[in-house]
Amino acid sequence: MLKNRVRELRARHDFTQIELAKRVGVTRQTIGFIEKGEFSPSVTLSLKLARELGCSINELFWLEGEEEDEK
Amino acid sequence: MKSDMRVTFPLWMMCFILLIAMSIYLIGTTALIEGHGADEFTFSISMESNLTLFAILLVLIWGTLISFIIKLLKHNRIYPDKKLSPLYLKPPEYLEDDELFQQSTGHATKKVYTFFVTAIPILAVLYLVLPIGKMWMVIGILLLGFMQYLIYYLEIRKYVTEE
Repeated sequence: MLKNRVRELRARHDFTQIELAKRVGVTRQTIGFIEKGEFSPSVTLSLKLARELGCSINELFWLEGEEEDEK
Repeated sequence: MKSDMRVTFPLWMMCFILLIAMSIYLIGTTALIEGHGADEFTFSISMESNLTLFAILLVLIWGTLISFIIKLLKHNRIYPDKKLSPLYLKPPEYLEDDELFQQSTGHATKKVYTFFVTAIPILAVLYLVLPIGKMWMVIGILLLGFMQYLIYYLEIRKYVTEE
């Protein structure tokens, strides 16, 4: 399962889901489903999200279990 | 999103299918078809015995049709970039605004396809084997249409519940 830090970084940038959705050109529902981990975005959308949230794609998304391995 | 008529479109279609099925049932059970030789037949409907039912059905059909048109015009006014027309060849309930909805539309159509792949042969066999009248055959086909919209709506609704 794909895990992510979208909610955390969005809050840090003080973006609402709607604002972030507009910035990356998707619906608010899509941001909500990504944050809950129920939808895996495409590479293109992931890159757009990483750009808007000021981080790399690796910092934003990772596979479940891999974070623990790195620690 | 919930007020987006593309989401509620299947519900309207289900409503119309029910009304058509009710009309067919009412006409089918009151109509009298008499054959006069090989080429001639007379078709008569005895409305007197079911006048109240026919009147209720007529009011329901017109009421639903007028409500549908009003909602459609309202939708087109609120969402000028997502205008709907029942005359489009592409089903208006397809939500393809972004990746999430392209995927959800894909899931929904896949479920509908799976349903038809199973249901159509079963219905065909039932029609061949059982002595089913024309009226029930038509109602059976309408039931497939009803199920199609129900399956589609239940799948799509998962993605639009949160506001």
